[in-house]
Amino acid sequence: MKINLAKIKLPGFLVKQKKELLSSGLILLAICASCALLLSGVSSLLSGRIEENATAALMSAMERALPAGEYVQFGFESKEEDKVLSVYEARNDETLLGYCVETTASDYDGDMNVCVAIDTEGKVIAVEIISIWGKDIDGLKVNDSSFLSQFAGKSGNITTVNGMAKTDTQVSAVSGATASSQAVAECVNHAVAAVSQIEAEKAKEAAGI
Amino acid sequence: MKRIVTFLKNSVLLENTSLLLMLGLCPLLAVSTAVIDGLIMGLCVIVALVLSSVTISLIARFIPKSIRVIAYMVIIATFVAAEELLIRAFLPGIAENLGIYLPLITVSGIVFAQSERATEEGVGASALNALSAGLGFFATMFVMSFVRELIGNGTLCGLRIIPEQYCMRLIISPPGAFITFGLLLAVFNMAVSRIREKEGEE
Repeated sequence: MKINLAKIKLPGFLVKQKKELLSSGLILLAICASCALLLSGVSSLLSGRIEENATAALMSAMERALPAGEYVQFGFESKEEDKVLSVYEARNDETLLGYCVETTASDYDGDMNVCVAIDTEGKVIAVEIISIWGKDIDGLKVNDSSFLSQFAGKSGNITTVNGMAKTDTQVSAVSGATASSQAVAECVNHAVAAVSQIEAEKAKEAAGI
Repeated sequence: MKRIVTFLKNSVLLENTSLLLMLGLCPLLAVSTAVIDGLIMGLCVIVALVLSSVTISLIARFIPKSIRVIAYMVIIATFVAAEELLIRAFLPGIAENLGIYLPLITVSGIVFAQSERATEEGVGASALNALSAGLGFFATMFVMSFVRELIGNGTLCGLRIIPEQYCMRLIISPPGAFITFGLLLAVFNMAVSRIREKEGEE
């Protein structure tokens, strides 16, 4: 059905404001377009460097968590795509030492990015916090080795408890930082789930299924 | 030289936007836990203020009143977003520390109030006024960060000055920000009233 705009009768007050509305709209469009152009230029200039910084931070965390000769990115689709950011195989020559999994979880104030080193049997080797949005991680109790070292050797679904950990799948939360402790545990659980999925898929491939 | 000193005195003391007009308090209270973070935030606010004020004063006569607020927000947001990209590219650690408070400069009262003022001023005047407002915020941020990091954390720019066991951790926490700001306000009001008395006597 064709609509003839010229035949549409506007109310009186709108007819007077039509020109003003049109010019305001065009001016706003011009401002938005110019700003978008400026920002896209700045973004294209700096995006490479921003990505390099993120990769350098991840590499540094991987080297601390699981020292290896090389780290090869492993491409796979995690069941929790938005939680597992990347997976790297840590190798010395041809020997697979384990996996370094970059995961994320929500902390009290923002997102937390963590690198979890896991061996081929699915046990945690080490945990390194890469960043917490809005916080300086240096000096944070949740970034202290006394908390993070609790995860070493654990597998399965790890939970945090206030006070002493009583089972193998529990870790003691940092006093006054329960939400952050839970976020770290959540990151570890995502990483463990990702590695068990990878190992299951490798086993299937090896079996020829 | 005398004009520069007068300009600085007015910006930091007699017309300080944060301590007199109470503008820009959100980033001031939230980010002033470390000197370096505070200085970078102060610089970001100055740059956002000056760039947005100059741009707005240049194009104000072409912007109809009905879309003025939206246009200002878009312009300010563009400069703040560009700043955020720059900080993330060259100072990634500080970008993480500043978190959401860097993009929040867009809706900060200090930037918006100055943009309204820039509508009626020439380019030079708006740039100077923006710089003055920014310097006041920067100085307040520096003093707050200095006091909170030194007393609350025992460090200055990451270097330990006071042993950890003697630090007053309350100062580095959110309630400590309000306490520190209140005390700073009291000292500032005392200093300004004495300066005004002296100027009145002269």
